[in-house]
Amino acid sequence: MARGGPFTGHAHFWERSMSRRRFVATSAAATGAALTSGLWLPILAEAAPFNEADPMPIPTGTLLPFAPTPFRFFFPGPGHEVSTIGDFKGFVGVADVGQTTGRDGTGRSLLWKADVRLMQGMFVGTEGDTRKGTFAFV
Amino acid sequence: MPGNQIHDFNPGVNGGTPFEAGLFWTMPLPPGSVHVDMADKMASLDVSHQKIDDYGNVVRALTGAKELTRGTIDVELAWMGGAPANATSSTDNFSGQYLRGGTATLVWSAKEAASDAFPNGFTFQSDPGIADFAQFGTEKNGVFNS
Repeated sequence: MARGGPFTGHAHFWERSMSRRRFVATSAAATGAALTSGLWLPILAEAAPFNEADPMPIPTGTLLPFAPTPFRFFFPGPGHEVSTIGDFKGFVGVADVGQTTGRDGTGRSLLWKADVRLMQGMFVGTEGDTRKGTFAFV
Repeated sequence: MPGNQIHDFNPGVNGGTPFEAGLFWTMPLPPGSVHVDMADKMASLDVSHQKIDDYGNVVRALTGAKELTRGTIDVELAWMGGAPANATSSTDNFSGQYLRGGTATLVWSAKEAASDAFPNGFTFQSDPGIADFAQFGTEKNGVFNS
């Protein structure tokens, strides 16, 4: 698939260029076909919202140039903490995917990058009780 | 590269003061979203129709701007293989035992209804992406790492 066209990605900002998020980018505006929300969103499975059992962030993280204090994550790599949840014990996984192709609804090629993680296990919530939960860093 | 970014999907920063001190881009999922088989060196994450915010670009997402709209994503991520590796930090108070250097394949899609930011709506289907870095295993931090 051709590369170098409209861009969809997630870069490794600041550390390796800047984004660490899945992002979709292009030099032109998105031009997907107009359809109703009902057609697009037929079944919405929404996980339980954060509430009194919120997990807490890790206490340290990555200092980015524009912020006075660290964002509570570490870039993926050997020796770097995967979890974004503090007081956590359990299973984790991380996948850092570089520039990859895809297509929008019009068939146009876009580029993307992503850092996706999972965390499943025990954590101490903001109210001090220990809970079990499953989370994704997306 | 960030300059022509048009979508940035993430669940936001949850409840931090200052902004950057909140729980970062982390969202709860149903327990069945994750399957792990360490003996066979396999793990997977499957997310269907998960609501998520779209900030348009990562600069907006990291400077406390409001999301442009909300959509849904589907994510299929599978890890396989790897060699045992450990990590520990007394400074950051964590330790982990992982399988590192195997493969991880990510396929995802996104859907957005028409909105002020994206009048025509938006859909996206990725090709499979192979991770440049992948690891999975167990980790503990904070009170669990003492």
